[in-house]
Amino acid sequence: MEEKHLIDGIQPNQGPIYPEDTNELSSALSDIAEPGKVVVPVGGATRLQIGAKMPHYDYALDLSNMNHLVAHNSADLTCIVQSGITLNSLQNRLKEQEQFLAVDAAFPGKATIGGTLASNAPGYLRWQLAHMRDMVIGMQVVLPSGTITKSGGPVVKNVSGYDMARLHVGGYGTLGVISEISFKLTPLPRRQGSLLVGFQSENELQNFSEEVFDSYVMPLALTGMNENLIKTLQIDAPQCQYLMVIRIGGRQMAFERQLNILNKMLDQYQDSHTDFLEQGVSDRLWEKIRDFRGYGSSSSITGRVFSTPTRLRSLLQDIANYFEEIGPTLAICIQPGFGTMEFYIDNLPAESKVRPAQVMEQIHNIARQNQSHINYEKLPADFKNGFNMWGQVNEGSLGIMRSLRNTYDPDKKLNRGRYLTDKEDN
Amino acid sequence: MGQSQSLKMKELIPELKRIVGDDYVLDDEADLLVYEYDGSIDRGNPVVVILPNTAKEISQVLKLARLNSIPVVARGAGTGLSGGAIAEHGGIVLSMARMNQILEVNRSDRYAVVEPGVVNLDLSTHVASEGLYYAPDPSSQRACTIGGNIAENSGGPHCLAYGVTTNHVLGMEVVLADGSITWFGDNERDGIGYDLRGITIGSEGTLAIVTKISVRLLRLPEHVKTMLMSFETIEDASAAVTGIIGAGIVPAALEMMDHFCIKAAEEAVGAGYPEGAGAVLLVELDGLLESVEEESEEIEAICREFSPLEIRVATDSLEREKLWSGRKGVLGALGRLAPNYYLVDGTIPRTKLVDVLKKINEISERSGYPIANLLHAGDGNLHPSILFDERKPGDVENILAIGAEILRICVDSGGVLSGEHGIGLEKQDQMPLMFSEEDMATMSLLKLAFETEDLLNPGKVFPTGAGCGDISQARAIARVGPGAYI
Repeated sequence: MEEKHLIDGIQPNQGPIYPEDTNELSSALSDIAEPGKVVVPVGGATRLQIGAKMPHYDYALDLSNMNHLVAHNSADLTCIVQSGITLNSLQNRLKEQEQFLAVDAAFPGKATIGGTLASNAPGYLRWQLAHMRDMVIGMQVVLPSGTITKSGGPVVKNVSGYDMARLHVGGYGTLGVISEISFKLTPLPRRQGSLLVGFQSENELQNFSEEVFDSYVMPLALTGMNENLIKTLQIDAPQCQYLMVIRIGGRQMAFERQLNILNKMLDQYQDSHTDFLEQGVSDRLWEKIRDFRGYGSSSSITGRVFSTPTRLRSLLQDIANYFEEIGPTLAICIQPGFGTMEFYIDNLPAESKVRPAQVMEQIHNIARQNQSHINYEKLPADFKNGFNMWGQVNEGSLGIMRSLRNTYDPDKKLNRGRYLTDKEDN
Repeated sequence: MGQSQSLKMKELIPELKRIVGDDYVLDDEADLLVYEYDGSIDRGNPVVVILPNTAKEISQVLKLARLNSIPVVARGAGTGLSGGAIAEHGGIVLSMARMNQILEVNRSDRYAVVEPGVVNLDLSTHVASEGLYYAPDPSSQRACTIGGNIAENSGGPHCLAYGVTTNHVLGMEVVLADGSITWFGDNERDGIGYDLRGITIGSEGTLAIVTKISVRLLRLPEHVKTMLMSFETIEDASAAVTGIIGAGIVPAALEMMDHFCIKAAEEAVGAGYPEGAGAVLLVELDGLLESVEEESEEIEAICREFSPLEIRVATDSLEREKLWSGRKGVLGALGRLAPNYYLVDGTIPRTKLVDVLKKINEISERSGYPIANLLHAGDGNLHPSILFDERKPGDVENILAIGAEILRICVDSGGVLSGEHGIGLEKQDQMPLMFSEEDMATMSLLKLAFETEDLLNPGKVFPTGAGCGDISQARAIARVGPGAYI
């Protein structure tokens, strides 16, 4: 057994399966025909902790050997990959042709493309380059029965049949196992760099992000963080309560113009701390930000908030007030223009004045009050019992989601009991 | 729909009138004629047309339809080109014409909430004063509706850089087949659970009826530059396209027209396209002034490698509009070259443009039918338009066969059956060219997960059971009927 196959302290009853290609993956799934058996698809296991606690599971279906770049048509800005390829392996290959896949997820040396898509991993490139699902132009999926099926294709515009890939991005491997993906690619910007701007208040950070949002600057990424995260990541931003990092890119003149616009906008923020980072230093900083949840302790709680830019602003204030009251460390990383936020909570429960379940439920309430959604991604296994990690989805949508789950995986062979559709089984 | 079902429907008309009002239920034969066709070759007569005004009314109609096993087809402006809005099995057509309000514009969060009957261009016009616009711009944007765009996942010239409809929809209120009303997604850009919003977009109205839509708005660019490059041959123009994309430049729009299109557009609107050119490229760049200028210089350099006859840059907005007027008016203008045309829609890898266009030209020469090529070249989306005269015996059969052959070439080149028009009725029997039985069975399970009765736009997308050859053509011809304009 590999340690990475341990989920919430549970190891698979049988040895792991390592398919080398789609046909072997298909055979593996069709061979597991006995009702009640539970299979967990595994990529790099960087996000395997997400989901409700399983009572048991039988097989880890480890896709790490399906790690090939099948085709890279650089003149067409497209590629086809097996789902087990790591993000770093792929990006390094694409970089040779001055291209990249506009998908960035934490721990890219381990994280696989399939796992990143299936778990709808957060990333910072969405500010300009949209959601990762918009990069997917075709997908091959193996159904729980072993049937191999595909949709889309290696072209950038396609409305032929249902866009089935949409179901599997964020489907957590509950409707099928992603085996191969066609992507559209993006040219690497000729020049990149980042501007760091430190603020004394969250209000200033939000105001500035709104100004950026409203300007002609098109950042590749824009992220804000609070003091706890600044300290944790050991970023040199003295006396700053909040920090914004703006990554810009483009051809030389366009790059300089964006930098000029930003610097001019900063004139009205007299007390702000600013620093410009050239590409190498900038890249290293973004690696730290990208992996920030890895800096929390083993008992930390991590989660994501889905909101709109305006709602996020009030939600952030409410959460900050709540944590000031109760004490634990809250590290936050926000994408103001996109309306999302990630966080981790540390030092809970030891220094907390209230019980963990109460804290998590109160954050849910704050999200609800701000018409936002929250999804806990990592909880200590003990906290998972009976707690709804997935947050609220309206009943109408949930009904269709359950119907999809029952249609494509009636025996709940894949990831049984872990996804929000399976809540009644827990 | 059989006669007995038709009679049954007539009995329901009082109830339908109670739901939406007397004035909004149409069952007179003359009224129904308007709804028997869309922009495609297909025809189908509904038994009744309903013009609802709210999701609640649609919910009640769907409950009634379900109780009586009556099919329901949602319809926007009827500009679709694949027969998606045709009432193939009779039943009810739900026209969204009255649900045409822009309900909310949120400038801070850059979204708008609209009803499905809002005309595409009206939204951009409405938010222009806020410095915003809605990016998907189908050629029919002056008439087509956002609800219809969702059903077909419509594209448009500027989708090269900004993506198609699915990339711009945040959430939707829908009425499911059982009459329940819910939201898929909302105003957020990401969310929890299966992407029901994404799977519904492009499903051609077969999964749910969309009643409100939250769309992403973009900031109007600082600078726009429109360039026209003319080439001696279409091969040179195609090679220039491959060169531009291969150099890592993704313009806002990159359109191509061949000599037939140039001639027709010039005669119709006098766009100023050069006479004698084999093809022109219409390139538009937008964004920061510096970015546009740097990229346009590179594009010019690339195009010069292929001996352009002329490179022209629009110097003001009037000239820009003039250049675009030729492109936007070209389909209507083809009527100057032949009584009828059959517009084919397929996408290929961009690097295959030269090969595929050569094959299309060979088909044209062999068959004797002129084929005008209009392309969203930047994303490999072809629109070969086969010129013909439906009054000539055998022409309809021949052009349908040619269309099928072109699609086969697209698929064999690694491409797909449709880039932006959808499958609908037009291409349903060609689905096996691209998909295995397992692929299509997996897709049809999706429909079952949403509704088991198959009452929402039945008979679309999936093959009818016949092969994709002659039988498919025979069905198409039978549907076209006498006097149809293609």
